[in-house]
Amino acid sequence: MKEKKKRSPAFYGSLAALALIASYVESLVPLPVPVPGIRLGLANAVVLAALELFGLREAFLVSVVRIVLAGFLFGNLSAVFYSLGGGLLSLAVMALLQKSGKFGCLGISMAGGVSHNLGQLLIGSLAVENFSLFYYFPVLFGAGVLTGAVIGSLDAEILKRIGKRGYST
Amino acid sequence: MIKSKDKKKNDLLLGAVLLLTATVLFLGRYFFREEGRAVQIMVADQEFGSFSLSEDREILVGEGNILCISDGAAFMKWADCPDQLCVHQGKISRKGETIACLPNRVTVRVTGGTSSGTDSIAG
Repeated sequence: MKEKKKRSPAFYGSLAALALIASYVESLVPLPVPVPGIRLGLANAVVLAALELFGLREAFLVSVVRIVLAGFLFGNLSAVFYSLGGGLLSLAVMALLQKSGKFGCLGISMAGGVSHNLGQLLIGSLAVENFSLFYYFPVLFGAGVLTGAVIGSLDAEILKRIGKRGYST
Repeated sequence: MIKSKDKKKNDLLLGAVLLLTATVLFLGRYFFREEGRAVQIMVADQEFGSFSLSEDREILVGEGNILCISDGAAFMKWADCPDQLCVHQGKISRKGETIACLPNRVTVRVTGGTSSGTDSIAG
């Protein structure tokens, strides 16, 4: 039923721009938590929407382009690596859950949030070459579930409104 | 194709399992926590040294970090990186708690052991 559509560079550009704006907005409002690395993950709303509406390839491109651009604009090179670790692991998990067809936005996003934080923790552990960072695993796990739930609910609302209009899957 | 009602049920089930896991992880750490006696400083996989928490002092770690020990707790007083995440992390004193400065690959972890100052003399 789904056929591979050729999409224009402008299409990908708009999606990436949307995700980039989400990153920017988020960088302006840091969450007041003592543990570094906890964010709402607003850009993931765009990635998940792209995954639901268009497919894995689109979501992957949005995610990677967003991370590289946001990294150089608002962060630094090491930030790019942490984000890639989190972003790619969470996208892999979300794509699997989505493909299984058993879960909606909420569940996919919660699993995505948890795996994103796990991915960052793994890259962080690689950087410092020991596992002491895993002390923060419970906090990051819980935070991943909660932020994932927020983003998932947001996406459910977005898809409810634009999902059937023009972008029917 | 699975109905959206079932998807919703699966979502909630997944959420419940994830929240339960998080709770178990939290409780586990809460019940097994204990006050630490020393901090171990690592630079990448090399041990920089261990320092007792009962002795107030400031430690220059490499060239990019200053760790301060006072009142039985340790905190990062200064870091040369732009994000300052480790400085904002505050004090640590319980076993297992960690301050990490990722740009300099420095981790400071509270341990139950004593300082290695005496060990290195003995060794």
